[in-house]
Amino acid sequence: MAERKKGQKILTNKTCKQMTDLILDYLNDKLSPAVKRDFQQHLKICPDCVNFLSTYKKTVSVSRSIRSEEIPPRVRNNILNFLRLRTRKSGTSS
Amino acid sequence: MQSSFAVAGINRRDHTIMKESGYPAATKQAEPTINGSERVVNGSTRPSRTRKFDKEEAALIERLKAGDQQALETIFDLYSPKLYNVAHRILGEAADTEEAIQDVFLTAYRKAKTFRGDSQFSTWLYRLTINAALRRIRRSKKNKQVEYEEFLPKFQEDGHHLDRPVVDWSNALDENYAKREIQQLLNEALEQLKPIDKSVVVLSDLEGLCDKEIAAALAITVSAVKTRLHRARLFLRGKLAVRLGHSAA
Repeated sequence: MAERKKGQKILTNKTCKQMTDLILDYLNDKLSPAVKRDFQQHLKICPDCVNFLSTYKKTVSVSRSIRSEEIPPRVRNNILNFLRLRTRKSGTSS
Repeated sequence: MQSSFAVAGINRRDHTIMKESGYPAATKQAEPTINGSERVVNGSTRPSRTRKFDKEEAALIERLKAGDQQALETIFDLYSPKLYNVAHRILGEAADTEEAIQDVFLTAYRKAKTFRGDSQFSTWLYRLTINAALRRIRRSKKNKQVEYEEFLPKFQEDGHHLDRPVVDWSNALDENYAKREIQQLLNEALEQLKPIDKSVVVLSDLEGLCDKEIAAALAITVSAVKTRLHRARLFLRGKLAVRLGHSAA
């Protein structure tokens, strides 16, 4: 749970554990307005959760930037030859 | 033969997440469109399926159902780049991937009549691909997966993070490693995921499918997709954190 700072009027009723469970829906903008408000309120007073969220987002962005594995021309030809052979044998080719 | 129309069903989804988080745009891809022009496919500009595309795709599927070999080759040209990437990411072995993709398209040809259009055709093909890949993993004795627990966040009884302060290492990752090294780190971590979780991450974060499409491709619920995706991401995050010398917690 985030700590209340001196003089702070608004308390968050989310714990850091609950925050972690909500990250996916938060990033997909799927939280209800009330829960989203609570989530953002917690972030304002909890640097641990701010940092955790930042590293979670970094992990996702690295995943998304992984280069696609291209199909090598030789493999492509192998597969096409295989398919031509097998579909011809089935007697249903056009 | 290269078809002129886009693989509209397997473009990246509109990532709401990007608006929220300021993620860098997913890899930009210029794909051929139905009229031969190109459009950028990334977070906010995902093309919608057009009526003409739907008609052309439907006609192609009908030809496939009738046993038209040329239709199979057109479908292969359209979908094999995406499906090969998915299979390769899940299997990690080029030879296994080639066999898996052979199976996918042969099955698509032979079982085309069982496709009833309840899902997008691309989702059906993804499902065949995941099944072919997972079947090979089950047969294989190679198993790199590890227990997740060590790399997941941990909390005190009152709900605080166990190891405090939590360090934001996101900038350090870019500063200490080249992009290629970071991807290598993540690839190694991906290989340690359970096959079904790896499939979810690949379809979501690498291919950009929405939760509903992933659920259909894996024959699991949307809720299960979200749970698996989140847990897998937490594990990957933990692996990166440990690699950088920080606590996964």
